[in-house]
Amino acid sequence: MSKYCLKENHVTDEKLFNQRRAIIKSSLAFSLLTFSNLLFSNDKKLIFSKDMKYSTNEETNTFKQITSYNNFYELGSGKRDPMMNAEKLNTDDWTVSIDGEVKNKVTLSKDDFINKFPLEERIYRLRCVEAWSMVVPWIGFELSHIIKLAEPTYKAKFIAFESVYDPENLPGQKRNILAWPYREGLRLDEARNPLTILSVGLYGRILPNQNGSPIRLIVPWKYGFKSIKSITKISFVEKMPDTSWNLEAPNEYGFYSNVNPYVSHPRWSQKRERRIGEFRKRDTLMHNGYAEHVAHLYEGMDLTKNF
Amino acid sequence: MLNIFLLPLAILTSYIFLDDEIINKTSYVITLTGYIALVYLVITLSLPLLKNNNFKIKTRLFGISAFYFSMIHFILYVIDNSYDLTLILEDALFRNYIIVGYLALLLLIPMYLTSFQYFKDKIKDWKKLHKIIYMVYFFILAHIYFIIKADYYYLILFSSILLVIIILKRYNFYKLNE
Repeated sequence: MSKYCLKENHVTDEKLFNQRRAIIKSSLAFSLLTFSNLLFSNDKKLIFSKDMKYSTNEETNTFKQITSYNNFYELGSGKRDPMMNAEKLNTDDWTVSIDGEVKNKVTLSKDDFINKFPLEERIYRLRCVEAWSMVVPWIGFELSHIIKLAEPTYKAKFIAFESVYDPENLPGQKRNILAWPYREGLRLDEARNPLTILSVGLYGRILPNQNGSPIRLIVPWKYGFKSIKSITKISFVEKMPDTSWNLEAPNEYGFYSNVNPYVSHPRWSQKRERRIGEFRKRDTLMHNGYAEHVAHLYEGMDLTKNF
Repeated sequence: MLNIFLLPLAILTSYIFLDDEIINKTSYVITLTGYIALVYLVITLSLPLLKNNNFKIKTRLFGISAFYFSMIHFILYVIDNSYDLTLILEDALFRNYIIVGYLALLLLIPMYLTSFQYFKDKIKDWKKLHKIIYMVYFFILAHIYFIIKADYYYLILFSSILLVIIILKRYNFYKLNE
């Protein structure tokens, strides 16, 4: 029996013993790194009020469902691609220019959108043109705030939105799947409707990249593709602007693209939809259930022609 | 049959049920079974091209498995429409992608039946009959074309595969007749 009663396997290996300082340093550095990630990550909580007037009381879809089943062709055309490629969208130093027929041409940073406007939670139904739907708790503010800020001139009749253009990093933009950059538009009265919001968050947190970070449009009575993601430019214009899906297939995707169960897509029915998470399909509602707020915008219009 | 149809089916079923990363499971499994049927069709067409063709029996198994997968694809579509005949009929009459889908499915039936000895004995020209596999393939391509919104990647991929198979078959044909 040895004097110190230490077994061989209780003795630290000499190699490890000599590296002890480096090991402690690296573990410290690691914990610092994790801590700083917590400080600066997208997990930052937003400050917002809860809207009762326009929000639905339907059960919301889970964060996981909302963030891993997306149509965001810039990040790939598969439903899971946007989640998988999310980090390829670089939102550092993001600015949005507001121009066109306005008195105040301004450029806003992504922090401006979080700090300058009254954020509220709006729980909206979202109906995709592909006949599926979700209920999403967006955090955002009414687009009318931007309109007030910009002060459009009498010439402005429409708003044109433009999304991010970065073919070097965005995998979907390496091919001509759509006319890039993605473009959308609204008539000015549609844009002023209190239902129309710009969203910066979801479930109380900053928008994940795959959902259109840092700022996106939400128009809940229109098919999902109208709600353009990752906006870089908002222009007030006189004439009806070009929109990407309309350029792709003019007979299938009109400028208005209001949710309408009575006007089918030329290739499939729009009568029913699958709420994500449910097995049986449910009936699609006129204007996605928001008719009381928006039907008056289209009075006298033939909705089979202005689809 | 166990290795070629039942095992993949079991793996597919457990994957669909267990993987909670798949959000829209019904839609996902309908699309996937359709593409599996097409891949099996590609294998059925390609196996006879192999030089050391010891795969005669397996070619047939891939063919009938393609038929089974397309039937599952179809049955899931019917279930997804809650067995509602008016919806299914409306699709069958007015939706191009459904119409060509039915054509492909219907043309698979005579090939399926004549893959059994009983019908092979009755119909001596069954091999000629099986040339309709190219029509089936064409209707499947049309089926995909009519449902795509913008990204034609898979359509181009499977069209190119058909083209290569046809060229190789021609090449083999001339070689044999030299």
